[in-house]
This record gives sequence, structure tokens and C-alpha cells, in this order.
Amino acid sequence: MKQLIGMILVFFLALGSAQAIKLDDLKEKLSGKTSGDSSQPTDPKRMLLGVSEEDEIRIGQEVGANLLGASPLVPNEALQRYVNTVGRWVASQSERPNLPWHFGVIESSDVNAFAAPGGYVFLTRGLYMKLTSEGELAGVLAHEVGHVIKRHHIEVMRKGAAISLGESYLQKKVQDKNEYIKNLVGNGAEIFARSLDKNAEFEADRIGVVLSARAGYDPYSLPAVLQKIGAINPGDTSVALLFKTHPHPEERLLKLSDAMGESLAPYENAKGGGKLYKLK
Amino acid sequence: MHFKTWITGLTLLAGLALAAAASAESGSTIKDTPLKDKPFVDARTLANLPARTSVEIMERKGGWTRVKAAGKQGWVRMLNVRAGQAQAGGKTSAQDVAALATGRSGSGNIVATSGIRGLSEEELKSAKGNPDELKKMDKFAVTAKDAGAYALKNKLQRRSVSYLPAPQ
Repeated sequence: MKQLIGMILVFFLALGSAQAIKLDDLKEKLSGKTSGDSSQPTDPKRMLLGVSEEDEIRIGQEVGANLLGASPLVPNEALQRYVNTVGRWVASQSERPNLPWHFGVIESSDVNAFAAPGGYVFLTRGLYMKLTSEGELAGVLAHEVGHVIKRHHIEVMRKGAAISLGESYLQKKVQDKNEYIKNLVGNGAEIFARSLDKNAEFEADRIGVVLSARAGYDPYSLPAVLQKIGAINPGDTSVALLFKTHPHPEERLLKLSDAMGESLAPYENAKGGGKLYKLK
Repeated sequence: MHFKTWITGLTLLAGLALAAAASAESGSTIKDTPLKDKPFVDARTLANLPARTSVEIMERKGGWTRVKAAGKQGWVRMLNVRAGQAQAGGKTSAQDVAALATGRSGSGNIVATSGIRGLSEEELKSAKGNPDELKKMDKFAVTAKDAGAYALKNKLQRRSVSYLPAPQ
């Protein structure tokens, strides 16, 4: 009897998720045909067909290991535990609190942060050294958590793989998961040398300030970091990659200002939080 | 003797100049914004600063920045000012001072003291996996429960806040 109930449940769950993905899209995907609808390649449900959460995590581990091959972790356990604590608290305020969240500070003088799919978040020593409060750290991590929960990098990977290999080829490759994931990841950690859609960055900023506020931090801490980054001379090589792959901080601040208005003002005088771990 | 005193004095002066440059940063308003007596929306308005007013940035508090502008001192909405606007004329700005302090000269990517480098596009593309480092990350991971305990200890209160829609 229990088994039967279980089966019925599975059936309804399957039905629910099939409805969530537009049935027409599904048919189209399965037949490998691309109709005139290709003008909407950003529909996340369409883009994500074939990439499960489990795949996301695998991709994140692969990309994360590759990034660590270029820049290893700062060998300081107290620092790494601290960043994981703040990051996990922030991620707990999102709608994907149970991803295997990992946070790491990597050895690079660049000012940058990276979000690998599945919950692997990195920031550079160069960026960490610019931070002056735990709220600022939380804000930076919250922006990256935003990318992860919205699967922004998966979407870029899919687009990239679709362009280089052809959509129908990719669909066949869905059968062979390993090959498919290899295609999505591409070379090394090249995904971090590519830009996301500008709107994905603005979205991650909006998520960043909200998750900060939900976690009990001052939501204006992320904009404060953006202001600091915006004040760095664009000719400085430490921001070359960041400025190449992101809209200029000033544009991001303007968008944030429009989106925030006074709606987060009630949370701006947040007093909670620990002391930022001092890295020498 | 005289020479030594002179040098000491000069060093002191240079130090003071650097300190002053580091504590106040130049900036400007990016839109029309009221200069408030206190960091609150309903505080008294001291002046209305038009866009592109030069300001001296003193400190930040929540969503407010304390500035000196037009001979007055007060608070403006933080998102209505930008810091470190590059002024023509090559004045030493606060970020140059910060760059000196971190050993970065601006042109090179190498931090003199530690030998840590930046990340180039090429390096990212050719990066080979380092599974050992990834395993270390597992070791450093923190459970949601432990993160919650940290938040409780540090008076971080969970608040219910809706996501912000994209501005039209």
C-alpha cells in the first residue's frame, strides 16, 4: 500500500515538473528541431533542460578544481573557516539553502570573486584585503550566491556549448552525461574569463543586498564594496579581468540605486555581526 | 644637525599629507541629492546639492555618506555619490596611497612582498584541475547549523525581506 502511494506521488511530481517546463519546448527539444522560437534562448527552463542539480554540483567541482589549479587556497584554516561561516549563513537565507555550499579565499592579487555552479564560491586575497567589515564580506558572498541560485553560469555554458557544437549535437550528447558535462565546462576555468549577461550581474547585485539584509547585515555593504572597486584606477591590472567581465561599478551602483530606492532603508543600521577576520 | 632636523620635519610633513589623503577622499554627486543634518531621511536638509557637485568623503554609515560640500558638512544618500573621481591634474588620490601601502605600483601585477600574482585569461583557460585543493574546501565547509550558531552568538537577526524587482 505504501509503495502504491509512493508511486502515485512520484507520478504527480513528474507531472508537475513536466508542466513547469513548457510541453511544447520539451517536444521541440526531444525532436532536436529548432523553430522560430530561437529568439528566446534565455528562457531558463529551456536552457536548463538536461542539467540537473546533481550535474550542477559536478560541474562546480570540476570548474572549482580547475580554478584552484590556477590559484590555490590561501593556506590559512582560520580564514577559510571564517569565510565559510559567513557565506553559509548568507546562503541559508536563499531558496537553495541545502546546496553543498563551499567558500574559499584564493591566492591572487586580483580584485575579483567567482561563483562556480552548485555552490562553490571563491574570492581573491586581493578583494578580501579591500574589505573592512564582515558586512562587506557578506555582501560580496551574497552577490556570488545570487549567481549560483539563479544558475547564471550554467546558462552561459549552455549557450557557449550550443554555439560551438550546434544545438542538435548537444541534444544527442545529453545521453552521454560525462561527455555533455565536459562540453559544458570547456577548458580549465575559462568560464570565469567570460562575461555573464549584464542583467545577470544586476540581478546578482539585487539578490546580494536582499540576502545581506535577510542575514542581519547592512544591505549597503555590497554597494560600499562596489564604490571601493569603482575608485580603483581602471588601468590597474588587479581589476583588468573584473572590469572586462562586469559592467562598470558605477553602472551597477546606478541600477542598484534605482532598484533599492528606500525599500531597504529600515535595515541599514544593522548592528549585528562579528569582526572581519584580519588577514595579513 | 640642522640638516637632520630638517629631514625629520620633512618626513613628518609627508606622513601627515599621506594620512590626510587617506582619511578624506574626493568624490562627487551623481544625481541631485539633499545634504542632510543627520543620516536619516527626515533629518533637516542643509542644502540641495546638484549632480556633479565635488564633495569630500568622510565616512559611511549604513546607506549614508558623511561629506563636506559647498562649505558645509552633512550626510547624503550613499548611492548618490561616487568616490575617487579621477581629477585632472594628477593629484595624489587615496587609492594611490592605498596602492603604495599594499606594494602595488599600478603598472605591474606583482605584489613585491609576497610574490602573489593576478589571474589572466590565459591562465584561466589553461588551468589544470587541482583535486587536492578542492578536498581542502570540503574540510573547511561549515554546516548550516554551525553558521546559525555563529549568527546567534553575533546577534545577526534573520529578517524577512522580499527580493527587489528589476527597475523598469
